[in-house]
Amino acid sequence: MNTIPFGPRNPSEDPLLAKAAELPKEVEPQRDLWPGIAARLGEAPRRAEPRGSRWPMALAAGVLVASVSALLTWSLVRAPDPATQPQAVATDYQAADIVPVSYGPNSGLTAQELVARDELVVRFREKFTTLRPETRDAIVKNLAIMQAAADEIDAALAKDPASGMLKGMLVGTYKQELQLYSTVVTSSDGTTRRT
Amino acid sequence: MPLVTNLASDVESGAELVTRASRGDEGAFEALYRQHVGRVYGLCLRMTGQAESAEDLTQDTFVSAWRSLPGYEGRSSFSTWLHRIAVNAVLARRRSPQGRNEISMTDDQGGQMDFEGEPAMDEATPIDIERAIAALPPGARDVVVLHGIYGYSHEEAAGMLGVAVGTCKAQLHRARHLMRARMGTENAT
Amino acid sequence: MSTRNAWLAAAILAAAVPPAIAEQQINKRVNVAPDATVEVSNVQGSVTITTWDRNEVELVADLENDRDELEFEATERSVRIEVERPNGKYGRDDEDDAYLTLRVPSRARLIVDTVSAEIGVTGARGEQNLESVSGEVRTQAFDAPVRATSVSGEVTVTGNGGKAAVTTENVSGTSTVTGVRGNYHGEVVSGEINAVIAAGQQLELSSVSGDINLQAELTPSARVEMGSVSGTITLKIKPPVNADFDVESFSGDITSCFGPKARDTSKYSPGSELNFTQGSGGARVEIETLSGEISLCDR
Repeated sequence: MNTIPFGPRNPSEDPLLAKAAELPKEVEPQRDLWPGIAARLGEAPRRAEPRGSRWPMALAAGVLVASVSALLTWSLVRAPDPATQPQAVATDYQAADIVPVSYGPNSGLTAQELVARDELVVRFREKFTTLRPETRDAIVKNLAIMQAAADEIDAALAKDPASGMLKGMLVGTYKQELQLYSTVVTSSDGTTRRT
Repeated sequence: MPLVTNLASDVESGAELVTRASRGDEGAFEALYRQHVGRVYGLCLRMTGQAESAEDLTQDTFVSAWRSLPGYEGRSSFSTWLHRIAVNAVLARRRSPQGRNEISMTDDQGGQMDFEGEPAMDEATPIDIERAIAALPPGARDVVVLHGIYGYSHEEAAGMLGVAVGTCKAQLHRARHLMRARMGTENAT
Repeated sequence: MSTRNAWLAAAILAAAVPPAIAEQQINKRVNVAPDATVEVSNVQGSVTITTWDRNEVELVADLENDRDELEFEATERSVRIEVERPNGKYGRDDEDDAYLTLRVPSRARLIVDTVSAEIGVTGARGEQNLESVSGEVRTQAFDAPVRATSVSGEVTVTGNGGKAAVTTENVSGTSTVTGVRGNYHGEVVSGEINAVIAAGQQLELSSVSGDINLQAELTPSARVEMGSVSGTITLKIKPPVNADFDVESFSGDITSCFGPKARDTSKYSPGSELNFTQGSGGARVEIETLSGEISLCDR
């Protein structure tokens, strides 16, 4: 019997990884590469400041996504440029950080629909805490995006309450929200079914 | 041009060098180059399996780093930041038409690699493992290099490679199987 | 040393040595009907499925620790595989994964769900329902329906010219669908959709803020519905284009390389709409956004 806990894989537990870890991390090139680099430093224009948001269209349209776009730029872009996208550590979001989307007075969603959604959220919150930090991070940020969209649609509906297009979009956003909860809730939890 | 030779003050002077280099001091940048080229070239060499490509990519990495230095905020270590730039450069080259030729060459030739490094303490095993790594398909090789050799966590390696963490782990699993087969009697249990 | 002391000494020594990794490898092989349902549930690691012309399901499972259990239930019509951890705890730092590699009959029906394990399927000609929370999902489509979902992972469906009905859903991941003919339904929140569809029949693509890029060849009776709140929608239709267009945006710009230009609609907003028939009409294209830009062309 032992009480040594399994933690992150330790190279010493895996002989192959252990051997890889012993390999020299530094390898000197056969020739001095500096002259070639120095020659190119003059040509390379320096970036004075980090590049702007990846969502120029959203900002130009005046959508209230500015607050989330800054949050998004590092996490949701593939293979981020390390020079402008620092490898931030994912926030450790908890179940209480899950705030269901609020659809405003013009939504046309029934009380029943919202109650059903809220019941799903309860089960979702339980599962949420079992997910990796970066997954929880992506979920919280995307709920914020859905909230921003719902706010925008609601504001537009206030001006044009009869718009079928806008109502359809709101319902579409609501369905996306449900889909998100449902995918997580129905995913495998790996627990034993035997009692 | 002062070059850093005092190991005891490496960390402090490293930060000073970065500050000076980001203000345009090429001498300071050369000192940073000398400090870090071994790690950058080592990464490029193992990821590509070819010395010539690794040299080009190392140069590309430092030129790119020079351009982006004003944006380096010090959240990760300078060495890790350089490695991220290097990985991007390797992946970009792989996607290029020229790069696609190089990949097929690597796979065909298996362990053909110009390998320069400190002499191995144990002649047999580290060289065997270098060849085994070089013979892996690119996705699996990337993960063994980043996670196995350079010690990045799965999350860090996945982020650098632009893949999901699950994919990174699956690639490592694949790599273990292939390397075990190649190296014969290796037993991971 | 007495025998008892020697035994004690050995026991103490054994306890002091860190445990070797007890990696379990479990192999299973069962006969099944050619169109059996194969259900796989895994949390971390990977699920890799290929097909063969045998009426058998073969599983090779590599479990990285000795506590996980593999549940395997099989009848001729149904195989169910699940990786389970008795205390149900998958901790944040838990590196203990399960790698499941399967070979199934090519017409098997596949149902796979994972949390972070990647899902890779090749050659499956039966119906597929592949779902992950953060893992990447990659599969091929032939003639049977395919549903591939991931919250934050990428979804890639590669068609082979068959008439599969494909559905993809992401939240922040990106969906890439190519080589598919017929029907495609794609939904994302902030991820992108990139789709190339031939002989498009029923195409429904929507996003909240992600960009949608669709290149399609439309059948004469095709119906295309695309919508986004703030994402950019780009539609390229392969000529000759014979379609009725109904395009509307509450505040976004509409650009079209066809003749007619968008006109302002509402007095409430800088909204615009574009309704016209190209060629002889027939196919129907409806696009709407709140603030996202819309761009239409035939090249």
